[in-house]
Amino acid sequence: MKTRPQWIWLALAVILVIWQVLAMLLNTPLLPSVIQVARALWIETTQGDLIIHFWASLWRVIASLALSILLAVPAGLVMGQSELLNRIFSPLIYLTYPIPKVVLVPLVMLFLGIGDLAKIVVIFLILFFQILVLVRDQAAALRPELLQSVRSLGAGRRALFQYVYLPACIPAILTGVRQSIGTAVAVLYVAELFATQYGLGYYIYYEGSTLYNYPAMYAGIVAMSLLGTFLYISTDWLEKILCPWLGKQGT
Amino acid sequence: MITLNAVSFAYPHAAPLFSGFTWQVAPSEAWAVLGPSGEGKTTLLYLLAGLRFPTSGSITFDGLPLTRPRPQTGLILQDYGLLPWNTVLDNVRLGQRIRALYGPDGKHAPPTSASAQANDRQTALDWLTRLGLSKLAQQYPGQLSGGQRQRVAIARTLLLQPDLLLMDEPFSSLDAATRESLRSLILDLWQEQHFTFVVVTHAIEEAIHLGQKILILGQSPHRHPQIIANHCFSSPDPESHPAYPALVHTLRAAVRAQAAFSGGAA
Repeated sequence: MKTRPQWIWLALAVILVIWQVLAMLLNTPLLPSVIQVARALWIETTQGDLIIHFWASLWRVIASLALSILLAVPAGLVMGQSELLNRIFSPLIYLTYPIPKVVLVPLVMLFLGIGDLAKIVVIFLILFFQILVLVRDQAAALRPELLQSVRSLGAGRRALFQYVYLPACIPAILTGVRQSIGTAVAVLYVAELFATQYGLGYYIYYEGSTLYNYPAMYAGIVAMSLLGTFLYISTDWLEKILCPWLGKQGT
Repeated sequence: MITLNAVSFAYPHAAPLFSGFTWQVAPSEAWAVLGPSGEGKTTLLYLLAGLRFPTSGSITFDGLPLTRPRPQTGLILQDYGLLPWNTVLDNVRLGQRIRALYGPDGKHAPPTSASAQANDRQTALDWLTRLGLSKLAQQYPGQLSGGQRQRVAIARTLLLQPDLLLMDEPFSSLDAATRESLRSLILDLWQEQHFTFVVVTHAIEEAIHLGQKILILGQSPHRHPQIIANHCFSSPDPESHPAYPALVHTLRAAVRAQAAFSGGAA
């Protein structure tokens, strides 16, 4: 799906206008106006510690992303190529894939403690399965004729990996990230409600429920939305850079 | 000299395709392998390419048994085997890149890189020009027509200077005009580069155009090679050669007879 940038800006403007009109109509501290929130966002970023919370959350997502790609890609490639391994592990994935990983948050914390690791592992679980399944299917979909042709040019395992399997699974990785990044950020919010004093989840909850500082709470919500959007757009951008052949089918 | 010595082959849980099959191909010959689909033509190519191995018997190249794909063998399969994520130029250079990755180890690349010059970018560009592809160098396979893809596959394979070229139904999915121009291109290259050429086809007319000798593979399992000499081969226009109608008749009868002999329907 291709959306032109000017339409994205237009949609953003529409959302802001609706927000502003609603805030003026309702006239309650529970829904501060766009301008109030923008001011809070500026102050909290420059003078407060919103930026620290933003980095804490971003670091957790990036670390989980790196971890899941590092583990899911080799596992997916192996399962995609080996019918035996796929037959052994597929039922396992079939059962664990649909479990909403967010319910595991208390469990993971119980076992891994209150540090960053527990939060990273929770998001990892979401990204890992998505990427694994897509890479596995991609590797399995590689036509044997293509592999034979490349082998006939002299390719052994190393060359097949470098010239065929790796480039073939990059779109699958990016699709997996795109599909699960929203869920990952949502679950990050939940994970950051527990046992931490850093991260946007903690910030939003603390400003809203403890300090009743609603403009700052909204600033946190905006920051978390920006985090999700930033990751989503980065994925699209990476796809354009890394997969120039996509969208060039047929003349 | 390529020798198949009492070769038997069967896929797991399937009836044998070859049973004690003996066949010889001399250097620089052009062979067409003719027969219906599903009777082992492509398998024969895979055996020659070292991508499949006989269940019994042996395949030798100049007396040496074939144990893995030879770097000097070029194989072009029906779907051309181009990498969708590489440009035309990078696809043409794929063999060069693979050889550069391994070095001249004798397994993945010829031991003496007689083709040190074959490893440079200019060689690839020259091949693109030779095959009329230079304007497409930065396009992706998804943007090309079938005939253009086949040209890319030919450039990629011949740039490695193979001594044996194997092609599987090379022109079956192309329109008549493209088919004709690619046929004469491949025959020109065959005369110029002196490689041994084995092409598999189900079309009688194609076999007559491309094979000095024609091997009939009717109904499997194949035991004895049935070989028909093609007297129309060297003619510039085989279809207007006086022997053409009789040859078509002979070939059609041979494919049918083998099928009938084995009790199958062709």
